Amino acid sequence: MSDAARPVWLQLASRETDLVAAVVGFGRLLRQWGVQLHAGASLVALETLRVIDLERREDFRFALCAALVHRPEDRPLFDYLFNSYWATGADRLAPPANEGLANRPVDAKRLGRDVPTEDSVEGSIGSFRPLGSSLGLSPDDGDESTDVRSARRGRVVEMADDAAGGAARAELERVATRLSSVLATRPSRRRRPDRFGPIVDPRATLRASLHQGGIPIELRRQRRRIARPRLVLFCDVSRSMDEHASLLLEFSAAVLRRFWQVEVFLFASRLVRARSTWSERTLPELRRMMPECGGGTQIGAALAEFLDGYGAALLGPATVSLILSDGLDAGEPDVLARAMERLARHSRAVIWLNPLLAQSGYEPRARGMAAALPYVDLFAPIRDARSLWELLERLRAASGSRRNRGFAIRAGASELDATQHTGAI
Amino acid sequence: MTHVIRDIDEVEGFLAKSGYVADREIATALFLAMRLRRPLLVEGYAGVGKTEIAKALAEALETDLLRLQCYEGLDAAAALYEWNYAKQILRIRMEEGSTLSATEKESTIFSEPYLLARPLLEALRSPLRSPVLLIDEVDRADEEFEAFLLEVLADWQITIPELGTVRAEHPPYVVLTSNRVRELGDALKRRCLYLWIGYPTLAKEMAIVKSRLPGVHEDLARQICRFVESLREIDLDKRPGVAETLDWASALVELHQDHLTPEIVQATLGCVAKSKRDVERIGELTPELIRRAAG
Repeated sequence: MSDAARPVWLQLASRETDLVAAVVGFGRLLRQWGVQLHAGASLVALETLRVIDLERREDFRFALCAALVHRPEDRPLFDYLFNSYWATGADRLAPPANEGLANRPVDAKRLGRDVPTEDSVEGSIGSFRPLGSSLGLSPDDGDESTDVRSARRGRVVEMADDAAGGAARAELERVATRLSSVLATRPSRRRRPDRFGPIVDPRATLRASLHQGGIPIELRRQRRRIARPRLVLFCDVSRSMDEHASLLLEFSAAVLRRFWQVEVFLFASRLVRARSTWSERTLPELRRMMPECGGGTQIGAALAEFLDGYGAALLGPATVSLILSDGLDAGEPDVLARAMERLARHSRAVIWLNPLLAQSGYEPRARGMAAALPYVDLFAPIRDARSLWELLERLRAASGSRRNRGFAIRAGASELDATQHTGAI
Repeated sequence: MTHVIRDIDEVEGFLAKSGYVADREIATALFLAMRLRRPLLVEGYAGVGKTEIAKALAEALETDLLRLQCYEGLDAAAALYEWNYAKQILRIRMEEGSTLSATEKESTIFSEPYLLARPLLEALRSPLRSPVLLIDEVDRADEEFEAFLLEVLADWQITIPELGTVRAEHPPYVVLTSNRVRELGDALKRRCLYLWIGYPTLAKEMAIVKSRLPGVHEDLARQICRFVESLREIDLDKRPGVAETLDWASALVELHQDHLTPEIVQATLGCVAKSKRDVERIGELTPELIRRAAG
């Protein structure tokens, strides 16, 4: 076989340092495209290459994949970039069809030769991270010009950096903390020492008894901890929500910092899973992840997409679903009602925070909102930190002592219903 | 170690021998995990055969399979070791009136015979050869446990305060599975090789059915797999995995069926549909689905 006809990695394999450089470069490329890559992944990749037969292209691909890709969402992107980066001549395959990748503005040759800088990646894919694209959201669907987009991004930043914004942010932090404790109702399987707890701790008792010649005079006791709930947050990012965007993002970010198990989904006409490491992101970065989609908000379809893709894994008796949306839905009310019914059935509680509800005179008459309402345990306005705070205080009061808070949400919600529809909170 | 695995073909071979139908990707990941001695993190939908991988591996290597089922609140006592309190108390009773000091008594009852080893410790203490350690549904355990697990996986040793350090002479092969109930921590992922198992292709699923149920009629196997394949595309509360396909196929084989009819589908629907709504929904679509499966 002539050297030129051999696959590029085999040419490189004969010169160890070149292969190392190429693998490291490939790792960097993946990272730039938004594949979540941990530190040291490239080293593991090199380790795998030492033990496999490099002549087999598939083995080479699967080995790199096992070392570098750690989330199924990243897989189509990996395959695509693998084909672009490692192929030569006839080996270069067309991007996989059907993965929403075909339209991506990629110059495969350039990818193979020099690695794009952060800026050029940014420029080539619009204002999105490829995460959205790998889920089938084409980044360039939006009819907005880049100017409008960056102008809007600017506004959000401005609001966030506002001096008053700082105080509001602190307030939202506190609200999120309180929310997590109000929702914490399930007894965990873990225990903590408690003098008057109901469970005897054999280990501690035995240890203590040794000092009394092996007679357990005093029983050491423990009590179950209270488990914090899991939260799935659905954030409406359609254009009608724009004027509330700042508040919603700040609130989501605060919730993310306060709950330890949160999954965040952004939706408009489609749904995107945001990363669980969201908490480190700044506001403009969050904004960038949001799909700008035409076609109006399809809450029902987006929720159905969630239920099909993630529902079984993420929902359960420990999960509270929190929807942040104005409920202006362009889809069929039936679709929404059915999705809400499923969501309610598989969650411990469904909370819907609606910014429109904070405006006086609003009644949830929009067809979509009306269809969804029967399945919502708690329907409340979100106007500012203050209003949320008051809401939580009422919830807590309504649910009584810490111990019977199992029914907090459902019981609290009915009590609040009366006041809510007059917009009193 | 009885034998060293040399290449991926060999892994494919032993997987096939133990009845696990694997594609090249699975075999590659498994091979790398064994050769590099790294834990393999397997993720995928419920019922696609994540746990089976570990079983096939143990069978192929003719070694023990130790299984640690994770759940919320799992702690070191349940995963690693616990003291046998009843036995300890009896011992203290026996020592009553003896001249031993409290310290001596303490060292007696906190010793090897009073230790109850749980799967993790068992895996580290395996005397003859490396066992396979299956840490099932690791996403159900909490983050504290994950951190603890990481420590064990990093050094293959653990410290029992009363006894000292236990170091593994034959480090186990580790397979972790996750249903993605939550995203696992980066540190854990960093240590592992990763494998995602999706729903199988039609050909692969048929191969699985035929390998598990040698008596199954060829046409029936094809119809079942096509039927289930279309089920995964419709809006269901719980999409059927390969496990459901196998349940259903073995039910139909028991009933001596060689093709699907609306009546028999209706009667055995419980094998694939796991909620009332799903049963109703599939019921409505049955004639259409059978037509497609037969076509």
